Amino acid sequence: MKLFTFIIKKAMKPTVILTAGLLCAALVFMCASFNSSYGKADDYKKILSGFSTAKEGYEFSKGKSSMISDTGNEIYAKADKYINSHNNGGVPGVLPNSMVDELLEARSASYENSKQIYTIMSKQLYSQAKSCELISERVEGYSRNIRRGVKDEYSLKTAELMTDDYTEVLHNEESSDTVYDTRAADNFTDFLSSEIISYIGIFMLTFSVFSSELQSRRFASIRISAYGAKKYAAARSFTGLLQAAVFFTVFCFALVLSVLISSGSSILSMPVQYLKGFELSHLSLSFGGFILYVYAIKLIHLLALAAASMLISLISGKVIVSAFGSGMIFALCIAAGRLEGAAGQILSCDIIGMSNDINVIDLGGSPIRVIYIFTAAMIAFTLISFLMIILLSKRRRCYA
Amino acid sequence: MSVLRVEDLVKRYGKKTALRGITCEFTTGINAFLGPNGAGKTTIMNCISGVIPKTGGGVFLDGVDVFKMGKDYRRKLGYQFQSQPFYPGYTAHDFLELFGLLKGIQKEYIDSEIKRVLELVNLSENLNDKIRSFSGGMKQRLAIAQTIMGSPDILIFDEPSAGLDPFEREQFKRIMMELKDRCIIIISTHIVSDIDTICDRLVVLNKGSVIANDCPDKLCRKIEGLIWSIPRDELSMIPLKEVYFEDTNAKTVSETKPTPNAVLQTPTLNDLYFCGQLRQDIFAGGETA
Repeated sequence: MKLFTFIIKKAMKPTVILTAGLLCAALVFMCASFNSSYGKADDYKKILSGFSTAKEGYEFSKGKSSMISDTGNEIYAKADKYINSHNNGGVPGVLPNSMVDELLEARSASYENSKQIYTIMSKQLYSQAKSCELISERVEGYSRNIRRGVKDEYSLKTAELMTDDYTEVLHNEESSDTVYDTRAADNFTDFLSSEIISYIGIFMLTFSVFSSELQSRRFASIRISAYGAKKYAAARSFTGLLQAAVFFTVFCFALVLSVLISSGSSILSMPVQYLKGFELSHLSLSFGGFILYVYAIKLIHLLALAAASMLISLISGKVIVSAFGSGMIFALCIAAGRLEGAAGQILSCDIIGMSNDINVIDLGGSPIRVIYIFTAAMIAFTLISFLMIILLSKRRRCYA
Repeated sequence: MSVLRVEDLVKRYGKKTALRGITCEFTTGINAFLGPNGAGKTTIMNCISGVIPKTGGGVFLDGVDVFKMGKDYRRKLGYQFQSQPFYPGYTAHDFLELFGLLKGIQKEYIDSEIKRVLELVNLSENLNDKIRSFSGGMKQRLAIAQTIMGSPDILIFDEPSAGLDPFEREQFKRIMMELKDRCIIIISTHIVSDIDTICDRLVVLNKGSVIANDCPDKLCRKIEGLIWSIPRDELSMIPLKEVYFEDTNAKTVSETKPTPNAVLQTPTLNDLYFCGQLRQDIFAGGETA
């Protein structure tokens, strides 16, 4: 334990520095995207607070957004028509003052702001307004299949599974009648599903853990000590996992904090189905619970990547090679985010995507959620990598 | 009294044979490997300590194969590498604390042990200095401190005096003299003055083989009557490749008087070293005791 404590103590300083550095970068990026190009936040909140239900707000903002858009298009079309009809031998006609005033109005900042506010609002409130209805339709569809006596047992089981989950979701949604400002929460999920900063941080913390020891021949001194290589490797790799956990926890905490500052703490009790694109999610969770859910699964994934990176570092024995090898794994995860379907979601740990679709696979005739298999696989992989590090450390030769 | 025995030790790197069946024995006291660069000194030290695997033969401590002893053997071992790698960002205290923990020293004794060994190597004032600020000599002394920490029974030093100034070299010898009565000390060097006055047993190596193996006095007696000092003006009378220089003297090894004014010399360890390189036939038979 004393060796563990010593190594953890020495490793935490670079972790803190790296965490602080990457966190600043992440927060700057996140704040920029939070403030990106939509109207005036105060105007938005003021309009939103005027709605008593999400449905009312959705209908109003959708109508208003269409109206503003149509009006603008009409004005442009009218002006084009006028110019074309008053074309004098290739010289375009001059617009009358009234039309110019209308055009300026349509291009003004306040006009654009209004358009933007209502467009964003309608998209945001769609989930809140329609989620219950969409889920009810889906439940009805599954129930119909069950009543019809679908012969395929697997399909039947899937239908039952989804029906149970959705019934619980509906129960939660029915008890929620607040209109939520989900802009920050939507940005949070968008950011988390595509961010690479946590990959960069974990990579930098772990890729050279053992390769630097081997390349510098420090590992030789450690191998012939009484404690030996195994205990040192166990201590060092445990510390690597701890560094990864600390880094990601601080990172996540800061992101969540920025959401809460923007939207207030009431957002935590919002059903997750109110997030943009989550209308048909089967998760019976509040947004606060969803944050914990995403945090836990992403942490497990990152720990698996950290363990893999350290294992590569031990096997390669050279810093450049381990940087390349570990880098390939992280790059693969990032690139997989561009793939469609379950394969891409699993490889890139797209928890948002895996949680937002039906995404079950047939395991012995029963539908099992991909996210559960993914999580179990990541935990198993981490443990196996950890054990392999300990076993290989004894055999690893590092001296010519 | 413990005995560390190396029996027919062979080490090959692909087609190249670094050690060709080395057999020798070490007891409590100062034992030295002497030989030029490439003789196999570091290789044999690494094989004895378990840093690298041997190709053949064995190493036995009191009759037990050390590689089967595992942790028990490693507990008894202190090894100073030829170029000891450090953690540049660590202080001297951190570095010794880490190795103290790795050696299994109890936490409550580590601080006192660190102070003791740093005092022995004259680094007490640098306890909390970062290793990256150390000179080469200071790093070498820190490596020696790490080796003797925990009072191991077997101490192995690979070129311990590299980077040390003359005072520090003498200090190293004093430390060895203090420890020799309770440890098996093995030193490898190509600098004769490191060991000339302190060595109890000497193994002379060349090209992976043992040329001579006995206590220095007996080995020097073997070359009595063979070492000649040659005046400068007679140097041209003998091939230059048979001449070596010690201080201001030019010397050679010969059964008969090589030049008219050559003067017979009392052999020293330095002469023994050059005999091992120039006239291996003198020690034909290898191990003598």
